[in-house]
Amino acid sequence: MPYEPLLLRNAGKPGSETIDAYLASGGYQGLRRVLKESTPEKMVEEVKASGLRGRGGAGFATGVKWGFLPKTRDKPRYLCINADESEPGTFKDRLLIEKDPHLVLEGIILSAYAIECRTAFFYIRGEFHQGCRVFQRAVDEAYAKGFLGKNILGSGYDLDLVLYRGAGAYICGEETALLESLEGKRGLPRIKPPFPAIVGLYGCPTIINNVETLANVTLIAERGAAWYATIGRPPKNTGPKLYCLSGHVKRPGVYEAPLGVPLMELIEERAGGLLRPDRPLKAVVPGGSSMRILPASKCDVLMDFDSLVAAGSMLGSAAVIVMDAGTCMVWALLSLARFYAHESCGQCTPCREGTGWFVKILERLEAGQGRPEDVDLLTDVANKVEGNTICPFGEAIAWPVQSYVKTFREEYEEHVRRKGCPLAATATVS
Amino acid sequence: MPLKGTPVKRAAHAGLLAATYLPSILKGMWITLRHIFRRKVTMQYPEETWKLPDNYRGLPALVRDDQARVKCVACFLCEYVCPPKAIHIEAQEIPTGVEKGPKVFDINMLRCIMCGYCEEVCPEQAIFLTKEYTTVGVNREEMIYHKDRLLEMGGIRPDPIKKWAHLTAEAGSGTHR
Amino acid sequence: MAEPKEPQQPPSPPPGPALPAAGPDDVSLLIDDRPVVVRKGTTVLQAAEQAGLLVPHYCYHAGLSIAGNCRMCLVEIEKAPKLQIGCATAAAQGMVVRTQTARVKSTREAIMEFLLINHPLDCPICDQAGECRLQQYEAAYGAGRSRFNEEKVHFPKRYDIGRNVVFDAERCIKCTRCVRFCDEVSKTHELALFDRGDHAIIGTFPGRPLDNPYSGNTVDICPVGALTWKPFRFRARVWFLRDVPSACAGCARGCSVNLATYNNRIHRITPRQNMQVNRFWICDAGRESHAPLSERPRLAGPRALAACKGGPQQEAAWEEALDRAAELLRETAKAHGSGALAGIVSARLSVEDLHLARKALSEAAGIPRLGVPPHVEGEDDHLLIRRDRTPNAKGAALAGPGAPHAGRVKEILEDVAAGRVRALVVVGEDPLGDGLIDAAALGRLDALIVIDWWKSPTAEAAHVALPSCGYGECEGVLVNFEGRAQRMRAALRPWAEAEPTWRILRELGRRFGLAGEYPTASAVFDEVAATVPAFAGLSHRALGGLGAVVKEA
Repeated sequence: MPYEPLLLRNAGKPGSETIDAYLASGGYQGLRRVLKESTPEKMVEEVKASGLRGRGGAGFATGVKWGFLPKTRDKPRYLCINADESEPGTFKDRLLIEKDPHLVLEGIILSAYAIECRTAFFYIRGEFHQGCRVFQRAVDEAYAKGFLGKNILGSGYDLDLVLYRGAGAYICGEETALLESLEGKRGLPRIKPPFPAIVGLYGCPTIINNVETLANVTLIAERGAAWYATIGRPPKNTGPKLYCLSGHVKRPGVYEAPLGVPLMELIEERAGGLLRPDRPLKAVVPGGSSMRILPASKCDVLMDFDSLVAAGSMLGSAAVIVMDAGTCMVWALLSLARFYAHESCGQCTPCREGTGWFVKILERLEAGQGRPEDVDLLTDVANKVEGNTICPFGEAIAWPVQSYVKTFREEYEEHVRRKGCPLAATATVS
Repeated sequence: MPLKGTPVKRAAHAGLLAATYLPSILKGMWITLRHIFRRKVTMQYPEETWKLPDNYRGLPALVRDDQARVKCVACFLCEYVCPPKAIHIEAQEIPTGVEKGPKVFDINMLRCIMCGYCEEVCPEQAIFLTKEYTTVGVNREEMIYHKDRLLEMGGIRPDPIKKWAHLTAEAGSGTHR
Repeated sequence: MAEPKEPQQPPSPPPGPALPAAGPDDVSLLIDDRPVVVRKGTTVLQAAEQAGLLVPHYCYHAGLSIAGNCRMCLVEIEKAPKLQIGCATAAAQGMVVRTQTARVKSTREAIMEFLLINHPLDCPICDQAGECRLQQYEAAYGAGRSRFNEEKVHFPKRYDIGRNVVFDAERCIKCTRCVRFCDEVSKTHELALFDRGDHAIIGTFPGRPLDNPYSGNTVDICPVGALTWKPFRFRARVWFLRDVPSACAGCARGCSVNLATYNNRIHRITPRQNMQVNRFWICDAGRESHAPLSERPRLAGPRALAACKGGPQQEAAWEEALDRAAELLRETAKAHGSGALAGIVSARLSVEDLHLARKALSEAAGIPRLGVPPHVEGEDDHLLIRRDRTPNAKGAALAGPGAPHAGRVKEILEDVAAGRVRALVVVGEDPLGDGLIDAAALGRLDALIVIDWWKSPTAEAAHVALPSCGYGECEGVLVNFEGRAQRMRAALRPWAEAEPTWRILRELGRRFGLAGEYPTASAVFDEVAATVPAFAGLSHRALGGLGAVVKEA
């Protein structure tokens, strides 16, 4: 049975980013229904019932997250939309923003209504020039048509949306660093607790949701939680998901499938299989660069939150990075480590010093100056970074280091023994 | 109180031959004669000097590195550790390279006991005990050795560890990675 | 990167080991099996401190907000899967905290290793050596070895970050205490963290160096040797210094300070925590208030004019100079009546000095008018600095000749100029140098007796100049603008023949029949306590380290 795309139903059609096209395809009907028939409380219940889990990385149940807001109303509540999509290998939110901004916008308005927020902030990655332009136009259109602003669709509900461009720091995808950045400060993660639901933007209760999560809220509003909960692998992994395939595949790109699609089906059928027939699959990072790597032998796995945890990794942002047999795992990790060393915010000790240390060790290994003790040192330093940092950035570098070294230990030792990279001549990334 | 004692026994009492002192003289000359053929032990000091073992502890002195830089950074550890308090240092800021060095470095050689604690404690390997042991001066002031004299005594001591190389090469301007 | 997990429901407190009962505003918890009761809102680190346990930390400072970035204070809390930072975790009822487990220890070792991999090994030239947290904690919690064999990250060293502060970026551990100080305490916002990762660096904004009246505190709170105080740079190694607790005499605040002395010299002044006065801070001016001691020419011994007027000052023995002073005062009183005598007494002097100024000059010598000049400069600021620069104005009002009063001083000096006052006693003031009177007018006096610690212009013009102790050379009590009496302590031996002012006044007074014994400053203060109601019940001992509030009517 061919899968009918839900999130990407409009993407790719000409003019899909305009409000006219969106309205013509039945857009904003969910919003109309909810504003007319529902209440914020019912909306929260509906999202809870749908089983929707956050698409940003951690997979926390969205409705439950909304429920953490304090019951008091003495302070304004804010909704922040995390569109600072910077995880290497991840480009799904960008597609939604550029190709179907109103799907996202409708989800934002619905979610803001559900949590009784009057001002929402759309924090978009600074490098998304096109996305920013498209989304600003969408916001302007929505204001013009009365979907944003005062008294939306005559319901008495007011919502303003502020589009805020980041300055291109990976760390600002971490929700509290995002808040700091939004407040005009340096993007440094905050200490938790207190969590943003209690003390967030400008000290007020704040919900931070991912772009794709909010697009899913639109679907729930359109067709109901009961329908939504049947998609994927109920009860805990429901709904459609965007998967970003990159690396050594024939057709890299964003593909939509329900949660729980087999990983190999994505690689073989959607992305057209491996790039070069002479090089078999070596490993896959299933959830964006900060997740643990799966060797080819473990790639027979379903792409959903719980199956991947069972397999020893995580769904993360569902960015599937495929590596074939020509990939040097030291080089791959070095490449990642350089990224993380560059992006570490420099606030807390283990991450600030550890990320740079990884790079130095890996550079030596790759250059043939490795020492036998370096292999264990990498793991040990990673163990000392993991869990001891302010934000999950520590894990984001510790997990790859731990898993690459553990899974491909032989290759690291080979680098030490042969004083260099055995694959140096062939290693490529397409 | 009158002194009491026993009279000295003169040679005369020992007999006539002894009274001539000849046996004693000959005995003495025999000893002298024997020593003529033995290895000489007298050293013609100061033309000749002792051959000192490597671990000999003589007067302390300051050394320069192979770039003729004063190695001492005026950390005051030797002043702190010196048992007879013979060392007096005043630090100064140096505009280039290593930030700090001695403005005044005095060792009072009248106090110095050549224990070698200063050499042992020095984190920069800047002070060493030389094999010099002749200290002369006509007044106390002369026995306080100042920085220049100590550096002259120590001379240049090449060091394989170039701890400050990155600073001395770029004259204090740090570089980002 | 994964989004952080939302908070779990707090676990219900376990039945566990017996916890002490806590009041409604308290919580009780176990730290290393020690029961502790603390106020609600106390952090685990502070609770441990109350229980006498040190949780090592770099970025935490009691006077600043919580940053939680050094990760040194990670402790194990039962039911929390990860280690938690003690500085940011609030103590909760029934919490079980462990600070000595193998996991905590190995994490501390790891944090020390991380902090040191890019830290230069320049302890021999670093002024912080000896009071450096890195040294202390590496000895106590570190592994004592390094596995780092790479080139360290290099940064600017000896960076001139402000008027009085030098920054060594290589030594910096990015605890951001200095940044937070400038944001939260001085509120001048000069510093910030720039760049990222292991090349993150503290810096200033273009054209705005670290230059505020409190910049020295960033040096104090820097746990390593990254920020150094220019005037103290390379002056002394800290292990030679001896801290003497005292009070600052720079303004009416009277901050609690430590005078760090070595070789009979104050090398630096640092704040001493006193939550009632200055909390943790002092101003830069107070920090350098010891400088005049070595910069200004001192009065080495008593000096007196030869019998003929206009001759040069000559050194004199103490007895001789005191006799001469008494004789001059007596002669003037005889010739022109006691109305021709006046005195100017400084409110920078201690309560003891001022008390004896009143006893000796007013009561014994019969000087009818004593003026106390005010010293006012600028405005009170938001933190510590007071426009009233006299540290003991309140003491002068309560126990001395009266509160500072510009009009009275002006009147006296006008009378000097007009020849109505023929003999003037000046104690600790410099009216000539301060421009309150000109040299010609002062020259009309038959007798000018000056008691001061330095060769001020007034002292140079005196008929008799008597050397008193400078700041830090004598004991005494100051009463700040809020009425808190604090002790100044003698940290140095008096310079040359200098004597405490109260003792000079005692000797002068005795020449006019002053009766009291007054063997020590503390005995003088006991008399103040016995005779002045505001000081009732106080004594040097009772004032202790933090002082006590006088009872004002």
